[in-house]
Amino acid sequence: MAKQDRKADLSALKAQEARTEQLIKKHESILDLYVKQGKSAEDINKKAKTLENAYTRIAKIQGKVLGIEQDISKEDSKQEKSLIRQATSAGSILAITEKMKSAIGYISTIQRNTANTMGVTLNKAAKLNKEIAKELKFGLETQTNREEILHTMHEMDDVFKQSNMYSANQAKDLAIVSNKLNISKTEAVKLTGAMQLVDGASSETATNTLVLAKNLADAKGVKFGAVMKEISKSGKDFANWSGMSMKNMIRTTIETRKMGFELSDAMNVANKLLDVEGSIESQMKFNVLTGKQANFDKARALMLEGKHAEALNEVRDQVGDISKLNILEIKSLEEATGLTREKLMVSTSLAENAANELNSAEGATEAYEEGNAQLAEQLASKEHATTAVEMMENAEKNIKDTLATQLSDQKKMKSVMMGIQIVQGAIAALSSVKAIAELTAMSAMTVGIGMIATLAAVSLGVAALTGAFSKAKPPAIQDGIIGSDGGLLVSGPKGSIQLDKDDSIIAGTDLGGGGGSSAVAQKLDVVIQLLSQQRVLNVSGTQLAEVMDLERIPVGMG
Amino acid sequence: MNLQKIVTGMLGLFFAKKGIKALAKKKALNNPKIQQRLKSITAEFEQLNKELEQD
Repeated sequence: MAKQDRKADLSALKAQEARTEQLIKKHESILDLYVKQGKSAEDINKKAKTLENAYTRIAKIQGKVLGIEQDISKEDSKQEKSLIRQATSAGSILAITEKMKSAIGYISTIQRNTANTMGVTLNKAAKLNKEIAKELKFGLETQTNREEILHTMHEMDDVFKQSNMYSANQAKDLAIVSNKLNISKTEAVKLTGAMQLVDGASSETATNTLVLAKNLADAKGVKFGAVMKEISKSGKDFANWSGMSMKNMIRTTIETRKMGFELSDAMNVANKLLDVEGSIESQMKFNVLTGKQANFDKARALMLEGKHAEALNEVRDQVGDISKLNILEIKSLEEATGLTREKLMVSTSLAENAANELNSAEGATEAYEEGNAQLAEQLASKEHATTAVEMMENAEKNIKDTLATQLSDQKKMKSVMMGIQIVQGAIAALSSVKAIAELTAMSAMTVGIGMIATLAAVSLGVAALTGAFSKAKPPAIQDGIIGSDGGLLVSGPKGSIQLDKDDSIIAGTDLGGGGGSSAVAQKLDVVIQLLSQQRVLNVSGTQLAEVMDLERIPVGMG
Repeated sequence: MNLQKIVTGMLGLFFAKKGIKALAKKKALNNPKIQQRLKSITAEFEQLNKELEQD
């Protein structure tokens, strides 16, 4: 109703103004007639006075019309600015909702990632993520991250077979230790898991043993990473064969590597020496051929005691210098010891260098044997789990992931997503947000909202979100609509969009031959048709050819 | 394709501005003070027209 009244007011004024002009013309004609007909001066003067009076009054009224036109123009520009402001704020909402969509997308992704990694349902994954988030302490924990903890938990699941045998806290501690020792999570879990399951050690003791083993390896000049790989390769066979505890096996691996041997060499030697009859026979054969006095009895005894490294040492000492053996002698050496000539020679060279490192290695061995937890803690605190950059990345990831777990209920997220879709749909349908934002040179689409801030907002809950939307209701622009995705739509009530007299056309996409049967394409066909008829097409007074060549920006478009 | 995008974009801006201008004008006319003044001026025209018709 208001719309009709408003139009009626303006139309009524225009109608009355036109009527006045007609009446004045009529009186002017009558006055002319009076003069031509030679009417009395009184009649002529009376008509002239009527006209004079009318001229004066119409001048006054037209002055008022001019005033009101100026005021309308001012109000017009005020309204225009306000509309543009509203439209750009709608653009901001669109940008925010986009960010929210991506935040919810992130929550969904980590939930799905946890579910897939651990082979559990989404609900269980949400619970697991919450447990991990507790350990991340809102980004205060920077030595590891959710992915690493999850990976460690997955490995633990494989080793322990039962999820109640480990916790997120244990996984976090182990993930940090593995970072500090620079060993893989898989190796760390396999070793500590075996220490727990086979040796009956606690999770904490097993983790400490790992740190002390690294210390021992360092003291002996052995690469710990290589030790871990060897245990990973032959540890299971060696443990089954020797019946040795995991802790002792780690020490044996370090010691045998120090001597230039591997766990498999210890097994080969033991198999040879413990075949007593065969061993004595091949020992005699070796002595006859080389003229040496090798005796492996002590080595055999050490093997039986489980002192594999010392047994290997004894074998090496017994065979002595083997650098000048012939082919038959080398063959008899291998038969007697189970070791190749090359391995024994390497070991001899290494033994010469090893004497100097004896003292420091003794201290480390003692600490390892004792399971010195205090030393393990000190050693671990000296090592860095991450680089500075990794620490920053972990802090960011952990804040993000911790926040993400706060809103992990898929049902709630779905409702938020639906809300966002509705708001976005409404904004897109209401106005040409993108185009208007560009018009005002405001980059509404690049509102600087980071993922963390958005996640924080989302985690406040659905209620807060809905509240925010209702407060920031988009403006109700009912006229010209331009699709924000580049598509062009112009609609609205009749007369709501008025073209200048120079404007002839409405054009859109398809100049590049993109095809399609959209309204835009149809409009463009009209353009092409008009151009082919040699018609001059103008956009706000600028020829379309000029627009397309970008030689000039049309008036009213800048 | 670039030409297509440029033309579409420019025409998009053009019509967006047109649309906003049209709407702004409507809103301006909807201002109660302006409406009141329009009615008053119309009444003055009516009065003048009546007098002119009588003469």
